[in-house]
Amino acid sequence: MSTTVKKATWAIDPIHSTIRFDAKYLLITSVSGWFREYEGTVVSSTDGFNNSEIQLTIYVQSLTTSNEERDNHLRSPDFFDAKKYPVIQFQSNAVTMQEKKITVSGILSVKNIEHPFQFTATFLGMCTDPLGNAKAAFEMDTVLNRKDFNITWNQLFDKNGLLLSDEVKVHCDLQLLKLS
Amino acid sequence: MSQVKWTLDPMHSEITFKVKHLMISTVTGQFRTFNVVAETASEDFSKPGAIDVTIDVSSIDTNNEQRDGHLKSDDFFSAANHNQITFKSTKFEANGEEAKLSGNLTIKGVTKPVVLNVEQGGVVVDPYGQTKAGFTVTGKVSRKEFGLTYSAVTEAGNVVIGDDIKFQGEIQLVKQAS
Repeated sequence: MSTTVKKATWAIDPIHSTIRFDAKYLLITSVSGWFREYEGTVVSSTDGFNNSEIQLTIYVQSLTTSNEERDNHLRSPDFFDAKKYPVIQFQSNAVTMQEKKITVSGILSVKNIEHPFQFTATFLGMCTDPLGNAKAAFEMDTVLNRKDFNITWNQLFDKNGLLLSDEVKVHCDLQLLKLS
Repeated sequence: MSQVKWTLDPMHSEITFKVKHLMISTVTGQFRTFNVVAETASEDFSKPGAIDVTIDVSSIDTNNEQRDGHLKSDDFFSAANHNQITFKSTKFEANGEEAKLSGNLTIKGVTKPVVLNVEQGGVVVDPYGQTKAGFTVTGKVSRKEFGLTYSAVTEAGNVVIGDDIKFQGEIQLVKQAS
């Protein structure tokens, strides 16, 4: 006997979401950037996000760090090589939710290099927006090593300091819009 | 006693703010154009003199043109009439790597005293031979106290846009040649 689980489909609302990355520059402060364009969906059951499927595509060209020269350097083969690898993608293979904590495992693909990627996110609540749409909010923080994805550019300064950190902090504030 | 003057490195500095949306989400924005000048008695920022910040309101960027336009309008900042946010320091109390920076913040023509938290990142020499000082500055204000009172509530009573605005500055200053 098969049981059909009723599904709900959600889209990431980019107007009320942020995908941000931070790297240390000169060891003394962080420089951050956002991706302006991305799309993602979450297919969940109708009674919660346990066992959901998450898919995210980020358009690398859309990165911004508030400085055109740096943005172009990041898009270049020194870093993301956006012409050759225009998207960053994530596909989940396991999602578990316990109370407000969500554990996600999946594959992250940057510059066509696939790496298993696991992170935890926090469920912040649901509500109905002024237009009558159901919305759900999540936030997550994680640290990636850019060398895992062949983004290795660096410079030395002041004898032994590395100009740019290998570790990149990623922070996402995600607001999902229920489509069905 | 000669003062050491510092100016902003805009390429490695940023001012970010966050506000709650629908009480559950956080919307983030930045001011892309701003300036900071500082004077210190020595190179180590242990006893800074004046610290002046000027922010260009029309440089606001929340990754959505329509929302940015709304924020610049009279509903919020009224940028046509008040295009600058300014901060002028009055006191700096250092406690090791952490400090409290007190000063007067002016938004939309309203001035109020605020206290900001400062984490000192250190002073280093960059690949171009410049002496750089780095700081992380954080604070929180109530937007309604500065006349940004636009309000909306959903049918269920969720406040659409929060009152508390948290902000963070990652600031790198360059020492000027004396």
